[in-house]
Amino acid sequence: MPDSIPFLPPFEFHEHVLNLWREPQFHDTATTVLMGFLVAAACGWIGCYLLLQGMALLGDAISHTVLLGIVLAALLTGQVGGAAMFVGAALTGLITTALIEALHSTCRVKEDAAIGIVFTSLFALGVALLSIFASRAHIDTEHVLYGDLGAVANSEAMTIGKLQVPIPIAQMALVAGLVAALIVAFYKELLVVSFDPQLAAALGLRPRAVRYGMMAVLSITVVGAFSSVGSILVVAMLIAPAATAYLLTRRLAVMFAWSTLASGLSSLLGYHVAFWLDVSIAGVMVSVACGLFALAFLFAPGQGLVAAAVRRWRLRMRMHQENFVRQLLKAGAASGEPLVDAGRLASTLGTSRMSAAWVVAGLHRRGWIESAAGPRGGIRMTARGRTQAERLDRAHRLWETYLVEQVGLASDHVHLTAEEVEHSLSEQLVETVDDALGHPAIDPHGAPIPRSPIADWAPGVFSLSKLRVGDRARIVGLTEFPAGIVAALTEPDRSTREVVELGLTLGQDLQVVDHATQPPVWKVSLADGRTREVPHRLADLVLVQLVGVPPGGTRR
Amino acid sequence: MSPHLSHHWILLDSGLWTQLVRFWTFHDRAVQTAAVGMAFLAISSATLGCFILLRRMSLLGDSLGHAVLPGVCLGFLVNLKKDPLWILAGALASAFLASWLIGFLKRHSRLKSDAVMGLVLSGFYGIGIVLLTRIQRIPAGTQSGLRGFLFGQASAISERDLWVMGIMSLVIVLSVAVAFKELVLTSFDEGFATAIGLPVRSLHYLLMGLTALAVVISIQVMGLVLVSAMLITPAASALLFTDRMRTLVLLAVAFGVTGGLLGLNLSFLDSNFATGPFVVLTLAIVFAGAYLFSPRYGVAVRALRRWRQSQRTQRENLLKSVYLALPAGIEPSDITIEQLAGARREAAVRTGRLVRSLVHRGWATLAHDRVALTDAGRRRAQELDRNYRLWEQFLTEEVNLPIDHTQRDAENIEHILGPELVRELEARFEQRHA
Repeated sequence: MPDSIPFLPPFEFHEHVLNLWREPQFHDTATTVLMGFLVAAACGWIGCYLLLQGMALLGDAISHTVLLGIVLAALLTGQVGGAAMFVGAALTGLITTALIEALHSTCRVKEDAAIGIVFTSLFALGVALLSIFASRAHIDTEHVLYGDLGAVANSEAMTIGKLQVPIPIAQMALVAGLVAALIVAFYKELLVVSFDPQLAAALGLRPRAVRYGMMAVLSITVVGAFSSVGSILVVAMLIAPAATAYLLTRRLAVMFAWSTLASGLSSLLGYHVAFWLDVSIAGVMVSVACGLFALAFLFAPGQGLVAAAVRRWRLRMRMHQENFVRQLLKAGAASGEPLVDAGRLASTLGTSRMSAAWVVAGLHRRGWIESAAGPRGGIRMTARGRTQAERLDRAHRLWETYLVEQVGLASDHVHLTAEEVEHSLSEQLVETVDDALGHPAIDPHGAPIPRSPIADWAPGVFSLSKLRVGDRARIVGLTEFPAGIVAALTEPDRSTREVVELGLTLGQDLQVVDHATQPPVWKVSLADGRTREVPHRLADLVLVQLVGVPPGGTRR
Repeated sequence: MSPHLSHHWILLDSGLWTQLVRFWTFHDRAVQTAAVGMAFLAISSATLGCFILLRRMSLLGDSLGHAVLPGVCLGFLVNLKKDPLWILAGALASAFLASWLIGFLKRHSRLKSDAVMGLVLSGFYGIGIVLLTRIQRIPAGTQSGLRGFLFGQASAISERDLWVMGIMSLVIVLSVAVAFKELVLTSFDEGFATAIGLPVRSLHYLLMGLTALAVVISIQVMGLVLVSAMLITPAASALLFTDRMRTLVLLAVAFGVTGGLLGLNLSFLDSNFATGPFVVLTLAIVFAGAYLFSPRYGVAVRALRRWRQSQRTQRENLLKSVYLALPAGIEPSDITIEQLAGARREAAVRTGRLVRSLVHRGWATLAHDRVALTDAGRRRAQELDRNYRLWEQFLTEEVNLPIDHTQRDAENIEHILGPELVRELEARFEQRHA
């Protein structure tokens, strides 16, 4: 070998990719890639089930121990290949499964250790026999370790129709066809066994028999793959494409499709890279398969690492934005002027100026704030922003009230939780909390709680229970059950009668003069000067339209 | 063939007996080096194996073993020769990377831990194979001896390797000794260990790190494909003998060293033999011996115990039926084996065998095919009958079972009721009926 060979040879697209698909190299390329694909695809299909049933370890074990069957068959028949090898391997697969089961059911060795002991022992026995009878077995230890995919193209061919097909390919195609046929035939049964073993047992599907059947098929597949990828790299072919597919979908049929695609890609890419570097094709195939897994792990939509990071980042941004407008609301209320300096707000929010700038840009885009004109610059909330800020402020303060009054926490212990919860409370939940608390107007710290922005029944129409002291309103309707609460539908007729008996009739004007929350009662004065006390139950039913609110108090 | 193999050529040309003697007297330098190295790695691996076994992390050793291959190759590439320090550094780096990756993938995907380990194992191994086959294409790589790392080549270790192995095993054994109590506690009851404030996570990483270390110093001898057997198999064998952690570790070490040296001996019988497979085989034989013949949990021993108990039950039942036939008016010396067999509804041959075992124990005599009880036999039969009735009384009076439900249970228990229990039952009933 000349001394000038560099560790990494230069890559040439023509030589390492295009030329391989032209005559005279076309035949070699096509057969090798096809063989690689058949091996990877058949293993990948079984791998899907192994993965779903949590039997990856068992697959690992069997792919190792099958070597013993192959070696014994080779020693007995004096040739590598042929039916004896498949029978021997299938038997070893079954024996391995049975031994593992026997070991961990009859003594205190746990399943994982039982697998470890059985597979290392049987594999060692295979290798030892191989080295003792090296001259008779015709199997190189190199074969065991990483196979020889490149030899497929040069192996003996058989004639099928008009086509010259190398025997290993014909064998592997048969095996892959068998695997595919079994999967199609027993799709439903395997689905049940994989996802719900108890149900499968109840349906009389005998998961244990299925397990043994799968192990036999797995062994046969491993034998088919043995000469091309060796018995250790098979493990990768079993797990990597299936795991890649597992990250991309939650449907079994789709999982098969993805795993087939991953197999094809790793075979194709693996061949070209291996040709370029002049290394073991199987080794590169496995590396590519694992690389594909890494891609899926990083970029899978939904579950991928990047998608999760983006989701987290968006959530954090949304929380920052919401906190920002709430701060704007507070600052505006304090200074009496809704004009604020962005830098100061960044420091109040406790974020960097960078992310404060991001937040401000995002808020601009959403139309929650606008740049204020004038020499001082700064930003101003839009009406939309104010609505959002009040919604949050309301959620925050109601949650604090709830924690103090219903949960019994001290009022100085509730701020931090409320700070987090305010972002995730839905509007409906906020209204439910509001109702349960008797529609309070101030929170435990004495700060005003913003009004409910949620109209009942029709735009601009609210239930009487949402009115605050000083509000003037006109009765526009009566509903039979309170908004949001469906369960309390008891004797609607009686409630209607009670409302009428209170003297609250349609079209009447009223003003709230007092509101107690414990128990919730609204004292209203009607247009004719009478005052009435409306209990919570009835106040939820009376629909009113706001006519006027007291000056300076949209809040109270 | 690797040049290192020439060390023990003397072993090859002599007969089997000479070879065995030469090996076990540790006469040759090569044998000495290999044996000491084997002892080092067996001690450290078997010690850690006990904890790995208890934590059900058996695949970890396998994963780390396969995962060191790229590191070994990169270590070789640093200056294109088998420098033990660089190879050790590369192997350690790739073992640590693999164990971190296993944890990372487990946390951030919905794959189960066995799938993650299998994936990392085969991915690293695949990359390692690419590097290895590439190295074999460059001139310095053809004689690299790196292939010895796959299945192990004990004869390839140098004295410098030995120093590294010795120091590393010392580190491992000392770390385990220092953190022994904490490691045991976290292995058995993680929740409790967390509750009393032990750094459970750090201990986990310590164990992972030490395992990586043990794997790395073992690969030269054991081979990275089979290195996990030295972790699991001796520990699993020891687990069949004892319930005490300290004993477990000591036994595991003993098994590991014994199996290791025997396997080493086997692998030295031919220069073509890799060390790993033979060591794993002898370890497996040790395990099989423990599995069958361990006094406490051995399968064969337990089967023998069950068989003896059933023999005893049958024998004593026969004794009782001879004894109980007495009040029925038959003279004891009149009972023939045929009559007994008929009464017991079994083959005469079988009854004959049981009668002979009674005679053997001195409980009966057999003259002219007729069975008679000796005094000792009569006493034992009375004892059995009494046991039966005591237990029957206990079941009806204390457990409140109906009298027709007690027979089966009492028949089983009469054979195993010890004297202490009998005294207690007697005392109980005397009190009651006084």
